[in-house]
Amino acid sequence: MRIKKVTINHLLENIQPLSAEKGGTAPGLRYSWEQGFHIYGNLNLHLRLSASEDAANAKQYIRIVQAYASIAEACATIANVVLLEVQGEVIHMLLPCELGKQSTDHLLAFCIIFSDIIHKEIKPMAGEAWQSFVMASEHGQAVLLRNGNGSSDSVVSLGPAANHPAKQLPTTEAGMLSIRPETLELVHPNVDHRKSWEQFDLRNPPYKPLSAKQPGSSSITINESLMRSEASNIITKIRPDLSRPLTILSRLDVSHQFETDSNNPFSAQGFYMRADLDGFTADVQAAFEDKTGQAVMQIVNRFAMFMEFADAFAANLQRPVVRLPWAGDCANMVLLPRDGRSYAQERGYVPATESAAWHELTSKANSAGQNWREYLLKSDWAVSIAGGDDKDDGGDGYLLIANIVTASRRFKIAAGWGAGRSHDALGVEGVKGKDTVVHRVDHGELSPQFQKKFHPLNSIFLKATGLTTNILTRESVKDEGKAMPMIITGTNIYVPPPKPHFND
Amino acid sequence: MIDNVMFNVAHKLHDDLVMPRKLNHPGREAYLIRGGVQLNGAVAQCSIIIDLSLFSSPPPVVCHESWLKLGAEWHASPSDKSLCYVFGLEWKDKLEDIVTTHGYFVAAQVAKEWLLRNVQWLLNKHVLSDQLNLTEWPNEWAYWPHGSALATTQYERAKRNRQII
Repeated sequence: MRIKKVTINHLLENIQPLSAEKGGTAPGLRYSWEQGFHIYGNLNLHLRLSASEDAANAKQYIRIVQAYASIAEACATIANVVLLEVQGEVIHMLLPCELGKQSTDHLLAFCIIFSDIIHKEIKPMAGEAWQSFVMASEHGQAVLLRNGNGSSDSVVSLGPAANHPAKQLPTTEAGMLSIRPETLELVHPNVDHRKSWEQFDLRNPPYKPLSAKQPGSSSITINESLMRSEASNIITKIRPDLSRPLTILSRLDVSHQFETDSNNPFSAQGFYMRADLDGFTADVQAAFEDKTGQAVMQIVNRFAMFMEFADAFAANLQRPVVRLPWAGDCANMVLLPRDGRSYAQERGYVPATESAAWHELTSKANSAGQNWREYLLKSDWAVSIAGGDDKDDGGDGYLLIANIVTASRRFKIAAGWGAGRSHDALGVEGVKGKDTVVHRVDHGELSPQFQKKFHPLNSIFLKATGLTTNILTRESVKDEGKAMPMIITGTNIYVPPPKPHFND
Repeated sequence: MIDNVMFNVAHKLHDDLVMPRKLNHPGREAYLIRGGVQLNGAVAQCSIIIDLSLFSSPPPVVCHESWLKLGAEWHASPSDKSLCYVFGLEWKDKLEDIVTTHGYFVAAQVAKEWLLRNVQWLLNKHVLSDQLNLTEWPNEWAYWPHGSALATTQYERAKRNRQII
């Protein structure tokens, strides 16, 4: 894979595959090394996205995320913030800057205005589905990468500052911004240094940022009125769409190469699979210490191989796979049932066999004979797969997949029970590299020989450690091979152990 | 007598299947039993024929599932998807002995349980092989040598050594 360092602006441009510039066809990887505030927003919605009878919910979900992403893009552009990725209800932005009083003030001003706009414009759209909107931010360096394969316009960010706020979102209270106390202290003295994170109230801010006070009066001031009018225009434009028919395609309607967009979302039963690199963020952090950029280049090289690893995994699976954008160093994909098989039939094994196949691949080599392990070094994958059943809010495996199209970008998203639970699974305390984590409802559907490979992690999730295809096959074949004689009840007659015979 | 025995076996097998279809008894010669065989985490749609040769040769069992692996080493006939779930000579020896010592109805009970247990055992192997993408029958899973002569030699030797009771 060709790799090229570019500026952040170039990174966001609509790019041609790198090698196409040289007459080739293989996709290339562009990267940028930036410092700034990584800003996450999380819209908490309660919409059951399961079977076809819930199509109204799916449509509402897409409309909301469409408006949310479009507003985020418009507001970010006005405030000199960059929209990096949209992953359904979670958006990730970057305010490129050095850490200081002025930039922290700018961050708070942007978050206060943006949060207020989301409450004013999106909350009425969401109606009863609305639960909350929260934000989290941290300043630091990150490597930003974009794959030129055109499947999505998401930008991948590697580095602790890009990771930490995302993990803070679930514990952030409604209407709040999670921010490091030492950062908030730059502009606001009342912080508690015993805490890792402060909760800054965006709805009733204890500190009024200077950047938001006088619109248009200086270069650092955020044009609040323009942000509000742009957001309002977006909602006005989108409103007629709300009553327009929206067709949700099913698996039967589409070919493997089908590309969804927000007007052609796709709903199918399948398994949401995530594979998160444990230990890689520490390597990224260490690379930032080398100011020559060589260590960062090595990180990018390694990450390019991880992307190839995920490609190789998907290509080896004998099933249709919907590839989704990476979330940092976490690969995402939806595994659809094999041809001729139903989701229900595959629940007995897919969470065990396909995660084992991912772990197995780490001990193999790529087509050029390079061992994948050489690039993993001491980091390892933690894998989760979630499907769900038809009880409670389980979703029965239904996932909604769509391309959210904004003014200049498009972001492939997937939503549903499996997307949420697979994410939660990897966030559980104690999950490490080489682990496979499944939800208890999926574990309950596994075949007995696969069930026993997993042990409780907490009351909701179970994990297996070091489960590879080789181990799973060897142990399952051995267990299945046990053949005992049988005594017929009430007769004391012995029947020999099973032993088949093929007579030519 | 044998009619009653056939009726008995057919009905008991029918009762043990998952969502069985109506028991079919087209002539007086045989019963056709169709329904699901319960496996580990799956149900296999099968057809079983019980006829007058019940004690002398294993009743034909056909599995209709798409995951069934066909071929000699998988003990499933590529031509009609019938299962080779037991060695015919062992079946005949054992059941004819039970008929002599315990009578037809006990032999019928044994035949039914033996058939069902062996079919489940074999199909569970097929399910697992499909799930794990196995391309060969593993050595850990017992089977008689293919073909009649080799299997008979091994079976007779095992009988002489009292490895088969």
